[in-house]
Amino acid sequence: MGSAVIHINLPNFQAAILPLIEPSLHDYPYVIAHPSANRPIVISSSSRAIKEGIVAGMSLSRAFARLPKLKVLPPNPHLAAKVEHSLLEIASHFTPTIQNDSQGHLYLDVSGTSRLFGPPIDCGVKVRRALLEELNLEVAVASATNKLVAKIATRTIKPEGIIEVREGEESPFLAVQDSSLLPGVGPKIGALLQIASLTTIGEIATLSDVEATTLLGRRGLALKEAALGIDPSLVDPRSLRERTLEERVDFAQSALSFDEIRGGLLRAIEGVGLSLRRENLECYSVETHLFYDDGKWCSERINSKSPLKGDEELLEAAWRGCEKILRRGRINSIAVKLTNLAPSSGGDLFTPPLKASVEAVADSTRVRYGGAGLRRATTLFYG
Amino acid sequence: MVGTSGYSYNDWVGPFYPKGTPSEQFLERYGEYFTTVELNFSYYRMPTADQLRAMGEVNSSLSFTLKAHQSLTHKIVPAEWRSEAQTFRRALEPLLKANTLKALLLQFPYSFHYEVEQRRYLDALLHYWEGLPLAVEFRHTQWYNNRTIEALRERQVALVALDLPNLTNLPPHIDVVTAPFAYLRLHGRNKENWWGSDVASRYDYLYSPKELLSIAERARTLAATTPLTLVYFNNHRGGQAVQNALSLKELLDG
Repeated sequence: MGSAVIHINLPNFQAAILPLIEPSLHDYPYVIAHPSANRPIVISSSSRAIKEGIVAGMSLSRAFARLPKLKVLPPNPHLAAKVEHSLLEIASHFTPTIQNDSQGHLYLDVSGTSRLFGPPIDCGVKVRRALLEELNLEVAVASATNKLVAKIATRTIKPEGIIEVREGEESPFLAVQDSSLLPGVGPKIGALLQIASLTTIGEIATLSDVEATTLLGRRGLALKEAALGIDPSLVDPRSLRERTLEERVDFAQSALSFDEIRGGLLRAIEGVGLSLRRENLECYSVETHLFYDDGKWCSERINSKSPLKGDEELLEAAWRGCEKILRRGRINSIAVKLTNLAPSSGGDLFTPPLKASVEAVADSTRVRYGGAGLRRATTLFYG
Repeated sequence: MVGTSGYSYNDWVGPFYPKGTPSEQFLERYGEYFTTVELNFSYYRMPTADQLRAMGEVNSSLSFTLKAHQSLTHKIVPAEWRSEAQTFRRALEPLLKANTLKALLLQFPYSFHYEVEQRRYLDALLHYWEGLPLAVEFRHTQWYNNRTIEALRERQVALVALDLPNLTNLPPHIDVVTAPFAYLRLHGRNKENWWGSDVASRYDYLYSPKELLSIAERARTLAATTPLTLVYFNNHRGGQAVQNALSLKELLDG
């Protein structure tokens, strides 16, 4: 038997967990948002609010226009951490190999656990029941041969239920699902697919490579691969919060000037930023490490309240850190480490679309021709 | 609630019904052990109100699920299905009055594909029978997609959860509550005889105690998320369905 993965999906995590401490909320449509923000948006919606057409990413004013009686509640990070911990603890009764993607998404590698818990789907039934009994949480659970197919399967049935996609039946299962369920399909790609009348994942899977790239750009091939259910990535037991992405740049000759240092820093950002976006992640902390000619090194960590994803915002955070530790002396190497990773929450409403698409084109060019295929001019200061 | 798909099988005399039990007494005997039964005769011949009233009078604590007539699922004639549906609906009256009709099962064959014409028909039928506790069982995998699930949730129609042999193109294991009740149908796991054999051989299977434990987990989870869960064993050959249903009842009650 091949690999077996169970995906646990607690949709609208931040909203879904609140009735655990305030059961009366079950009867109300409510959203999670920061009402005092300059332009507040819905972070997460309750099932009742979703029925009224109020979804995450919508502006709060628009949500109120749809439903004036809407209840607005702030996020409860303490409760979220507690629930995530409980989810992990229950899941760990079934396997030691768990990938915790936070916000109610867990992948369990259950290959080889059948002697203890039966076939993967039976194990999934037990997991689901344990979550229901111990946490009173209704979740969507799927078992499949890889993470991607399991994820699409939970999206198919959410908000709750259980489904099995048997080995060898990934393609026919995916073929009939809506293309919007495919990870990587956001509003922009969704609009392109709509124009091309590609409504199901199966229709994306049947595109030729040329058709996929012509229609969807360089991401087309990756989307086509996903539509075929191909996902070689393993369940990574390190939680996203524990994982880091890192890029180090060694100067050919020790750098002294600001321009050289900033150029090197940007080159490191270009590399690590590309890795971040390729994994569809964002981060909340940027660490900058400077290695001096005299053998000494120092580092600074900058934390951000909002998620960081684009090169410019990553550079800004890294440069702020750099400025704090920069001293007189020659620098041999610079490293940038991204920590506090989280799944990408999708497009930022306030990122100008042009800037976002320029970055996407730059990323796909680098994927195709390597990191040196396209560089910002600033990095040329770095020898 | 646990029961079997059908109760009137001659090969149950001996394994379940005492030897010499006349067929007219099958239902009464059945009602001594179970509180619900899925009536399958209504698939082969159109039921009448008198028939169902008489069945309801056999044991007032027995509740029923009816399988829709084949003219509404397998042999659909576009010009005639409405009158067939009306006749079927009229026959249900005594059970509806007595509040003993738990569900009306629409079991579609493998040949009923996820195509425009079939989807329109299903929509029209569900609309026609709106207000009845409807459950839909599909045998073709194409139906198991997010649109079907959403549509059934909107209409409060149950998607039947199935247990079948692990064979290509048969529906997946999927338990999703889309109505105020859940419906679990257990057909056995006879891989060898599923295709190309007669009905009796197809459902010739006895669930092992280990398999029943996992079915009990499924049933308990469904029961925790919905007010009513109906579980029926269809592995009827030689009374195996009864044997398994009694064991499951014991597991769930114990």
